[in-house]
Amino acid sequence: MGFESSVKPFRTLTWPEAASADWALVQQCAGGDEAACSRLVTDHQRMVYQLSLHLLGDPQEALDLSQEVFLRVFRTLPQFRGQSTLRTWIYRIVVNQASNRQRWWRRRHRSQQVALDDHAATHGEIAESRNFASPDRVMQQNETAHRVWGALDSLPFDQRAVIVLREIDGLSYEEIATSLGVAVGTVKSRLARARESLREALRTEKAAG
Amino acid sequence: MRPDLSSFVSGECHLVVRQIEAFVDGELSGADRLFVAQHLELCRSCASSAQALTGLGDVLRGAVAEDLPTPEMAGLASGVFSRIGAESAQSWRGLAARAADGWHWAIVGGGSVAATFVTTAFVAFILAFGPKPEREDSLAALIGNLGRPPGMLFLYATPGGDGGDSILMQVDNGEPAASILTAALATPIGFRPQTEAELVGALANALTRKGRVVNLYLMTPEDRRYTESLLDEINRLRFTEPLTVGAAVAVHQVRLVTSTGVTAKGL
Repeated sequence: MGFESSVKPFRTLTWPEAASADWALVQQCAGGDEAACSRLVTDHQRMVYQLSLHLLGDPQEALDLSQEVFLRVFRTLPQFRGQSTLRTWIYRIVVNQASNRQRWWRRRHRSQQVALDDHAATHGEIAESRNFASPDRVMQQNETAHRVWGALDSLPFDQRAVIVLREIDGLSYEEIATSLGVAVGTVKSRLARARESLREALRTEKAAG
Repeated sequence: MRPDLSSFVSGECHLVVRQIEAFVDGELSGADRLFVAQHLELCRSCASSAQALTGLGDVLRGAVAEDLPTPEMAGLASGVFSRIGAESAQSWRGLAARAADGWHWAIVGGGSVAATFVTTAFVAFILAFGPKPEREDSLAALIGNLGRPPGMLFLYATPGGDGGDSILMQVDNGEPAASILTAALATPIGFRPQTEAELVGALANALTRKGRVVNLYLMTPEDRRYTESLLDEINRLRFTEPLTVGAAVAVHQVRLVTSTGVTAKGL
């Protein structure tokens, strides 16, 4: 059975090592070390961008949000006390900023929302695969990607955040709880609801397609 | 083919269903994980649920796999740093720093004024709350006063015995010399006698201002008396025998000018 593949890989960096490395990096950044600041951005930009994209669903919005996130990180860096890993702390900032932006965006631009297909027609395909599979295969992948993005978009933000953090970013329940600022039990219940909603949404999309 | 033993383990399903998600997510430990894994080996229904969960995650990961927009990501760090720089330039601290660049003289002046105020306040504090001067009627002042000379002692006497002109003289008893007016009137005994040249010099100083002769009609009565006393003294020096220390004098009068204050209450 293929369940073992879902088990998180063994992390070679131990907690004290990660914590001390994070702490050292934070101290250097707080001390105005430009090289350290640049390293902090480089080390985490992929993670921040991808999470932003998965939470917002728009590459340009995700880029803007990534910049906002790093600005927020540098502004609040002196408040980092090392109670969680730097990665989890940054995740929390991303989720909070994405939540704020989505709330603002929905309030201001509700009338300007466009369908996913229209968005894809304007901005190109969402998940542009770079493999060299057959055209049929590529088309099928695109369709699946559209359905998944549509299903993700239909989820409430808290469910979307929890499933993205778990399934795509591979965070543990505890890390998700820290990132979202909720209890582990809440993470479990939100995750169960998100999976159920996602499965339902995928079924509906498939039936509609 | 593996036999379907679902019916044998169906009693465990309600326990496993609650843990399937945690199992798939790798959040179960030790005995729980072993228990669920063994159950899934035997129960098709639960195994299918677990497989669906795993499949959902795989679909999700496969569908959202994104290539990073390389050029934009490469410029992310520089964009962040330039925004930080711009915000810092617009911040209150930045504005203050720029204002301070052009206002350094104002700051220096302000600092000087502030220093003056601080010093004035410090001196005022010392004067208000510092140690008070000793009272004149205190016992310590009285004892200190007793140790000092009683005052300036003057004699009205005739040098060389009776028959000569009587003059006023100051006795050297440790008190400072009398004021110039009094000194001109009194011949000190024990002090170095003034020479005629010194008296002429004093007369010249009294009669001139910035190299010009003073109009005698415009002199104050006090200056006029002083000038006349200088002239008298010069005349006396010319026509009398110089007074030497130890020479006999006929004392007619003793005058004590004391500075000791006497206070009385209830008068």
